[in-house]
Amino acid sequence: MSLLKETDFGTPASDSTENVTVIIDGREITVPAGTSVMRAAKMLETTIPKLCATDNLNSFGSCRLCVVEIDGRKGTPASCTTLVEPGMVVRTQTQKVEKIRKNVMELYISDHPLDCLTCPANGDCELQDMAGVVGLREVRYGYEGKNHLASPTDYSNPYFNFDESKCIVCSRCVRACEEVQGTFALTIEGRGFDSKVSPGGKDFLSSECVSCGACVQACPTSTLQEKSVVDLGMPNRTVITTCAYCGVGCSFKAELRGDELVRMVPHKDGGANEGHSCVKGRFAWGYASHPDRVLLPKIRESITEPWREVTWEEAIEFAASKLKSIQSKYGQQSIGGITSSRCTNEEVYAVQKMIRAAFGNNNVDTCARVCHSPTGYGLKQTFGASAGTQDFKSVEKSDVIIIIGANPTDAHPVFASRMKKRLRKGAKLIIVDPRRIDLVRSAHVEASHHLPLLPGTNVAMINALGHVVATENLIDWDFVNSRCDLNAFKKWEAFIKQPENSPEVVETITGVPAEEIRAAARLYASAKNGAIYYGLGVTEHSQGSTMVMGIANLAMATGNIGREGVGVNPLRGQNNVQGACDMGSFPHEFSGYRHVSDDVVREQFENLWGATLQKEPGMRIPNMLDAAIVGDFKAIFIQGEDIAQSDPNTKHVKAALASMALVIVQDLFINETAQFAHVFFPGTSFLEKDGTFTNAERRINRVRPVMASKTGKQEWEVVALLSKALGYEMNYTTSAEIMDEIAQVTPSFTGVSFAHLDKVGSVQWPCNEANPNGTPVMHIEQFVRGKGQFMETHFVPTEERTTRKFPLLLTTGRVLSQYNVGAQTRRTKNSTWASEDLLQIHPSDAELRGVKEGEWVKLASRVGETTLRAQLTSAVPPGVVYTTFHFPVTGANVITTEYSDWATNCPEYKVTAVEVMPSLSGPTEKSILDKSEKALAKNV
Amino acid sequence: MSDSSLIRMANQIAANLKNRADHREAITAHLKSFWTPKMLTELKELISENSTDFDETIIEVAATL
Repeated sequence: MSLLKETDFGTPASDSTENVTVIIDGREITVPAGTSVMRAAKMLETTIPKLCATDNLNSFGSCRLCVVEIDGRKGTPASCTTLVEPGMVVRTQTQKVEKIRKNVMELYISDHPLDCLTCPANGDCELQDMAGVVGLREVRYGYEGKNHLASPTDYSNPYFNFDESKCIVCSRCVRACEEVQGTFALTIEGRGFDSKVSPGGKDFLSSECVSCGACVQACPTSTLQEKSVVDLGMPNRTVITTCAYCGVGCSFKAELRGDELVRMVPHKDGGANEGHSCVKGRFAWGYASHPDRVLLPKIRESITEPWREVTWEEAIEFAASKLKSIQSKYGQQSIGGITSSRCTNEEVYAVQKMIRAAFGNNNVDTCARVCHSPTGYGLKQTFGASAGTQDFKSVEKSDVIIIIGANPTDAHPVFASRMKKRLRKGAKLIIVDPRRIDLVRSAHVEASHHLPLLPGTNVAMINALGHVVATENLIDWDFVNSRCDLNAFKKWEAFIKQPENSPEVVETITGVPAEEIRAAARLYASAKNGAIYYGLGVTEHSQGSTMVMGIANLAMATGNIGREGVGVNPLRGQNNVQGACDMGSFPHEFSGYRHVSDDVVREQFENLWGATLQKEPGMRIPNMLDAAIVGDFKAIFIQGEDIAQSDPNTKHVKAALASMALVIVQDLFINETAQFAHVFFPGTSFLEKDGTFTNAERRINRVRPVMASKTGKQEWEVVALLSKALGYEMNYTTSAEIMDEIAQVTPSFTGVSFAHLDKVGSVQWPCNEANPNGTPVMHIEQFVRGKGQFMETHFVPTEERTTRKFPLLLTTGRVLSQYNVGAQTRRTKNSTWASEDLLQIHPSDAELRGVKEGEWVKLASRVGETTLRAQLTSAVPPGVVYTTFHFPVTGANVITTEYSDWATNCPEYKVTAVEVMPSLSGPTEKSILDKSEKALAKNV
Repeated sequence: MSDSSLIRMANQIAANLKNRADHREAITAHLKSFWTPKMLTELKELISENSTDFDETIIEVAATL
C-alpha cells in the first residue's frame, strides 16, 4: 500500500499480438488476447472491486469480490481469472454481483478487528476501501464466534510488523514473495479456517525473508505494516526520486508527513525497478538523519588538532587560500580531486569542471577507478561506447544467461528478482564464479553450469569459451561478416583457436573440468538470445580490461549484440557509477568519453567555460597517492568517497593522505578518510539532492529534493563557491542549469533536461535528436564505433601468487544488507542481519588450521593483517577464502595489495594471497589500524 | 610517482600488449592516452638509469616517445 496510487489494472498485461473485442457494461473495447476481464474493464476506467488481485501478481481468484456476470455463462465468474473472449458481453454492476460482493465483505469484516480509527493503515487500506465501495453497513454474524482477533503480532523484523489478526489470507504477500521477489520465504500454513500466512520459521527475522518489502507493499490491510508508519502516522505527501544505493537505480515514492520522511515505496512507473525494491532502498534510509551527520563546515591546520566548526565563508576561504598557496609553492600539478559515484551527475560535473578550469589541470579521477574502469576501457575498445548494451527489461527475452563475477541477489537484488522471474520461466543459467553464489541453486532456480574457477583466471576461462565457439563452428557468421571488422576478427580467430586456449589446457589453469567449459560454451552459443551479466569479479583483476574485451568478443562471435534479450551488461556497484564516468571524471576524458587531447573537443569546452584547458591526461587516483608519498602531490579534494576504507592497501592510502598538506573531504560523515582531512564540507544525502543519477542501464533518473538541504546548501553550490574563491566563477543558479550545460557539450546527452525527464520519467542515453526518448538497446544497426572490434585477449597471469607463507586466495564482495564501506547501512537497522565482516573459509581449510565456526581468526597477506570471525562454508572452494569490506574495524583492505589492472589501474581486490590462523581476540577500538593511524599522524 | 610503481605499470602494459602484432603502436598509444607527461619523463629517466628493470618492448617504445 502507498499514498500515491498508481493505476492498478488488477492482473498483469498480456503480451499477445492478437486482439479480442468485448463489451463491458455496454462499452466496446479491444484488448490483447489473454487479458483478464478485470483488466479490460479497468482499461475502460471501470473499477471492479477486488482484494486478492493486483497487477504485478498473477490472478488468484480467492477473494470472490470481483465477480461479474457474463452473457451466456452460468454463475458469476471471477473477473480476475476469466480471460476475454471474442464477442463476450460482461456486466460488472448488477444486483446479483453487488449482493455477492456485500456478503463477501461482510464475512471478511466479521473476522477483522474493528479498530479502523486507530489502525496505522487508516486511510490507506484496501479492505476499508472495499467495505465502502460495496456499501457494507452491517455485519449480521456478530463477533462472538470463532475468529482470529487474538492472533499474535510478529515484531521481529526491524522494519515492519506482521499482525496476524488483521490478515484476510488473500495470499498477496505469499505470491509477491514468490512472483516478484523470487525468494519463496512465505507460505500459507494450515487449511480452511486455520489457514494463515507463515514465514516458515519461528518469525520473520529468523526466516528466509530478505526484507525486500514486496509483501508489505502487496498487503491490502495493515497486516504487514511499516513500523515507521505505526510510529509516525500516515504520510501526507509524496516526492518521486531515485535510490542512492546500487547501480540498479530504483525509483521510489518518498512519502512524508510535512518534512519528515515516513517511508520509501518503490515506484511502479520506475523503468529500472517497475515497483520492486530491496531491503536497502526500501528501508535503509535512516542514515540521512543519523546523529553522526555533520551539518556545519569544519577546518583545522593539522590532522592532529581537533576540528573547529566555522562558517561556510571561512571554510571556503581557508580551503582556497591553502590550495592557491600549495600550487604556487609546488606547481600547478600538485593538487587534484576525486569525484563520487554517490553524487549526482550535476555535482560530479561541477567538481571535474572546477579541477580542469580552476585548478588548471586534469588531475581528476573518480571512484569508478576502483570498480568499473575496465568496463569503460574494454567496451569502448570493442563496441565504441563505455556502457552496457541493454536495459534491465531485456533479460525477460533472454534464453541463456551467463553471470560472471557477480552476485546479483546480494549486490543488485531488484535486478536479480527480474532475472529469477525469467529463469523460472525456463531460461538457462551459467555461473562463472569461484564461490557457489545463491543463484547456483536456490528456490526454483538452478544453474545449468557452475564454473568455479580459481580467482585470477577469468581471462583463461573466457578464452576457452571463445575457443569452443570458434573451433566447433558455433560462430554467427552473418553477424560477424556484416557487423564486425573482419581483419580484427581473423586475428582473433587465429589467436583463439590456438591450443593454449582449449578447455583442456585451461582446465589446468582454472581448475574447471574441460567438458563443463565446453558444455557451457555450447549452451550459450546455441541460444536464440544469450546475455552476459558481470560484476566486479570481472573488473577488479590485473587483467580486468582484458576480461571485459574477452566478454565482448564472445558476445560478438555468437551474434549476441544489438537486440532485446542479449548483450554485455556490467552490473555497476554504486548508484551513479555510469553517470560519474559519463560526466568527464576520468583524467584523460571530458564528458561523453572524449579525450582531452582532441583539439576540437577541448576548444568547445574552452570557449564555453572561458578557461584554458590542458591537453595532456592528468593523474589517476593511485598515481596521485603514489605522487603524494614521494612529495609531488600535496592537496586533494575528495567528493563523497572514503578512500581510506575502500581503496586497496589501506596502509599505503593512509600514508599518502597523511603526507599531503591539504585534504578536503565533502561527505555526510567524518569517515575514515576525514581522519586525515583539514577541511570538511558537510554533504547532502540523496533525500536533499536535486539532480540526476544514471544507472547501469544508462537510465538517467531524476533525484528530487525530498526535503531541504540539512546543510543549507547543495553540494555543487559549495564546489562553485570554492571555484569562485580560486578565481574561476561557475554562475549556476540551479542544478537544472548544470544539466543544460552537460547537454550542450555532451553528444549523448543533447536531448536531456530536467523538464524532459519530468515529462517522460527517465531516458537512457544516447538521448539526442536521433533518439529523443533515449536508447534502451544499443548497437542495433551498427556499433557506436562502426564495426565491432575483436581484440586478442592473451592471458597474462597476475603477479600475485600463493606461496607457502600465504597459501590461500582471498576474494572480496558484499552482502545483501550492507553496502560498500557501510557508511550508510551501518547507520541503519540493516546491521541486524550483518553486524560484522566474516571470513568465509571451506571446512577442510578450517580444519587444517584449527579454525572453528564463529571464532576469531587472523587474516594476513604480505601487506597487512586483520582479525575477524570465521564462517565455515562449502560455498567457497578449498584454497579460497572470502570476506566483505563493510566495517572499518575489520579494515579488509589492509590486506589487499597494490596490484591493479594493466590498462586502468583498477585494483586487484579479487586476488590476494593470504594465510588464516586462529586468533585469541578480535579487532577492538584500539586495533592495529588505529595504532598505525596514530603513528602516521605523529610522523606528520 | 614512486619508481617501483612506474616500473611495474610499464612492464604490465608491455606484458599485456606485446603479443599483438601492432604491439609497439598499441603501447605507444596507451602511454600517450593515459600517462601524464611527468610519468612519461620519469619513465625515460628510469630507463636511462637502469634499463634492466624494464621489458624490452617498453624500452623500444620509450625511445620513440
